[in-house]
Amino acid sequence: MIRPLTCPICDKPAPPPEPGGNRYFPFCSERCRQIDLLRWSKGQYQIVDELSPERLREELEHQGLDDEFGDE
Amino acid sequence: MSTENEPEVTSNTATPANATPAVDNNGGTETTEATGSAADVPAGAADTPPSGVEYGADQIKALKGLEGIRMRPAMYIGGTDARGLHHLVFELADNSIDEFGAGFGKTITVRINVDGSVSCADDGRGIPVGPMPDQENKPAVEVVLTGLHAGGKFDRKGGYKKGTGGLHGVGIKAVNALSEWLTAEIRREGHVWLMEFSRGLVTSSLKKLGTTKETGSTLTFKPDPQIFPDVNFQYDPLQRRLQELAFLNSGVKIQLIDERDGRSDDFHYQGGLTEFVQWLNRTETVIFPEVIAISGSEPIPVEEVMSAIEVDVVLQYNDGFNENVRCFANNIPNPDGGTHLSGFRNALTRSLNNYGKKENLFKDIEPTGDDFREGLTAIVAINHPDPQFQSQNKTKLLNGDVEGAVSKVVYEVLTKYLEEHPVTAKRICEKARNTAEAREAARKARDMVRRKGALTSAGLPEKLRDCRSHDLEATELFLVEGDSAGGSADTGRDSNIQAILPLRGKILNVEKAQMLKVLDNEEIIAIFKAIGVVPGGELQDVAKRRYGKIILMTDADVDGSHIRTLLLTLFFRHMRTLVEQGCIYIAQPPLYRVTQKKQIRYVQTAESMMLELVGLGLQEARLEFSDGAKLEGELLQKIVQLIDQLETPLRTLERRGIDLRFMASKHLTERGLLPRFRVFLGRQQHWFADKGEVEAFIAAEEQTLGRELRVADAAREPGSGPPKAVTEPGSTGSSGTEALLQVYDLHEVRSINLLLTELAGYGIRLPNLLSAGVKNGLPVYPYKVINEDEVVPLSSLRDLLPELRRLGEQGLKLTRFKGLGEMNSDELGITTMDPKTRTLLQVTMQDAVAADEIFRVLMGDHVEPRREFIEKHALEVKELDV
Repeated sequence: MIRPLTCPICDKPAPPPEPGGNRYFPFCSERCRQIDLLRWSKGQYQIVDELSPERLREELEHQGLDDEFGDE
Repeated sequence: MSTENEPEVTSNTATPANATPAVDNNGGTETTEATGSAADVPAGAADTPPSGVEYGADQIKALKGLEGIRMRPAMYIGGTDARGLHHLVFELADNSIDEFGAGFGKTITVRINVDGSVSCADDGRGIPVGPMPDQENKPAVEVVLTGLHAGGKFDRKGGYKKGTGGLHGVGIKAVNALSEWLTAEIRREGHVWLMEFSRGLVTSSLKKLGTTKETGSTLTFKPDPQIFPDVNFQYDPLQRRLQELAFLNSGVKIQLIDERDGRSDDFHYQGGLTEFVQWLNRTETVIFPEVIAISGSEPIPVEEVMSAIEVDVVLQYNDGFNENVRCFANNIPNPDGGTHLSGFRNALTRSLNNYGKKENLFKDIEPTGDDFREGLTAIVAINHPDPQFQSQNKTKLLNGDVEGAVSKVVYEVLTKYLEEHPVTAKRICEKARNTAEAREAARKARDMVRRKGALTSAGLPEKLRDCRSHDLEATELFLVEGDSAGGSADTGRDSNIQAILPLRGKILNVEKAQMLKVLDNEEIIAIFKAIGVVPGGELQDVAKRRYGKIILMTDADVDGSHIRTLLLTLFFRHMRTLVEQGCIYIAQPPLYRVTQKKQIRYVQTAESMMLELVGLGLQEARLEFSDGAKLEGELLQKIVQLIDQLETPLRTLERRGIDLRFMASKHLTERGLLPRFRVFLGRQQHWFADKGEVEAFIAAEEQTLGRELRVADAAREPGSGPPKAVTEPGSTGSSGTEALLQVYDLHEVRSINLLLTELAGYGIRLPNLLSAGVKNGLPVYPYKVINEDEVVPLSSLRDLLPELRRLGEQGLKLTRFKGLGEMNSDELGITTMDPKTRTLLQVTMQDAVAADEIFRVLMGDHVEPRREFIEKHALEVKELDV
């Protein structure tokens, strides 16, 4: 059903998760699954966008607005 | 190797001479035998009285030596077990290897004979046979095989320039002493010579067998069953060591033949240690193809003469978890390592750590030495003029000066290598980082179990607004982007069956002008806790989840799609079963609120909004040309659709810096189409409709020039400008500048031409899409859009669409929601949350896999292909009304 993937951590092939198959899918092993979970928990998975000055200003205003709502 | 430093002498006080009185007592009987053998009488004839041979002190010394070996074989060959037995063969092979190392001979043949004896033959110089004046004119071969601590390798004039490996001065004599019989067949000085021994004593003096042009030594021996409980040789240990010797001595040919069953092997490796590592890794998956080879030497003084420690290290990593480092000193394996191993490890850790830190590869993790050795396969070989070992087995090297020498050579060469091979260097550091992380992750996992689990413990996240029902058929958890949207959702929900978990997925970094999308630890824990499923949870865990549906509700902008990608990836990787069971959904908040005559509608996407506006604009509208031609109804609709499709490729073309007006006036083909190929020859620009024209042009130019055209280096799409002139080295002035050829295939022209052809069928051509410009100071409007209320003049048909949209928007009030927070709670409830009125998309495994792929690209180093990738792989989810 799902084509084979490579392990997100070590890039080794990760066999599919079919019943009785690889229970760590999409990882190759418990070890790599744990490394990934550690990275999530340390906030290492960040998507970074550079902001233009206009967008930055917009975001700052928006955030001010957000905080007001948040305080409600 | 010199006797003074023989470890068995320095570290072991129980030398044969000290092993009194037993040796003295037995010495007498053996002496009788010795005299007998000297008189060419078989060793068995021990009762034959001594005759004609002087019974001198030298012989007593030699006999004591040989007797000492027989008394205490363990001191010389490590034991009388299988290991010691096979060691006898290695002693002989080592001698032949030393001869090869000194530059004599190429081939070594080890043969297990049918009678259980073993022959070791080489094509070196052959053991000397001449009389030795200081040894009572005994033939040299006899001294070598019987005289204790005598041998060619004490004197460096013998051709052995490097440190040698065997137990020389002892080893070959030990083999002789521990053999039931031994024959030495030597080819040198034009003759074949034969001498025979038994238990270390001569049984047949040196004889000429005939003439030969060859050189070399063949020693055949049968181990003495009085010494060895088991005298049966096994093939495999011999095979292993001989292959190792062939790797260590690149170029030597070693043949192993077992006459008992016909088994045989040939070992011959030109690649030396590099080939050794490749062989060790043959069943592994290596993480980079090349083998890193390091060699160098450090000068040291030996006996007041400058000599050197030679260092050869080769290494490669595989994706496994084991460390496989083989250490050798002067060809001898040292399974317990020693100073060369510690010097190597120290330098490996230091150079990789420095590199990783400098390149910022170890952000918040510090790999240890162990981490740098996971998956490492290496050979550490040194050659020392005076090696010292811990035991007679030589399992560990002791020389203190080796540690510094290996460390220095490896650090210097490896550091330089890493600088010059950044791809390989990064792979190694990445692997070490993973290993360090795995260690930390395993420790954290243990901690969590000990603390009864931060993720599984009772108690719900503080931010969760739970619902009252526990019916999985009905309950839903909304994961909402942003606290303000969380507030609206809280108000707009059905608190009986709907729970809200607000997530702060965005962090603004004002200093760096960056927006970070990230789920922090607190949020990850909150998600797991709220859902009530542990990471890696299986079917039985998922059955115990706290809500039936998990619904992701994010803004309809880029940030929202990023947060959705993060969440889907997290679910796919750590709560896959939830995805497989179809528990994950995506909310579909509207993008527009449309108010028309106090009636409010919501529109989901920008595309459908545009389509709707154009549709409204087209109602009752017609297009008039200046010549009076009119278009309306379905015909106009078709043309609007074609012009709409034309917009994207036209923009691509314009982004390349190509002016449409210029193209339309100069380069339209006969059929009014655009040329697809832009060709530069130097600064000269040419346009061609197809590949054939391009080829014809190049052929013609080359014929004029009399040689092939030179092509500019890298293609510079999408700029497609002229190539930079390159001045040939050595030439001066403009005469040396060659006009470079650069061919650009403007792929978008294909779609443009298809659409233009279709439009031509309705009488519309490219010039109709260009602004008519200005005439007599006034703008010209050749087209008009007319509807019930308005007449709108148009300068070009490219303005048609925006105008129709504007007309369509008349009488409507459009609000575009920038985020969920801009909707009031009622709106959010009705449009997005209320099961009776909303639309949900169910996430399939394919969707989750796609999200993971996008995630990997977003996390990767390649910034450029990012946007392209996202546009291409925009998450497609199967629509489902719920």
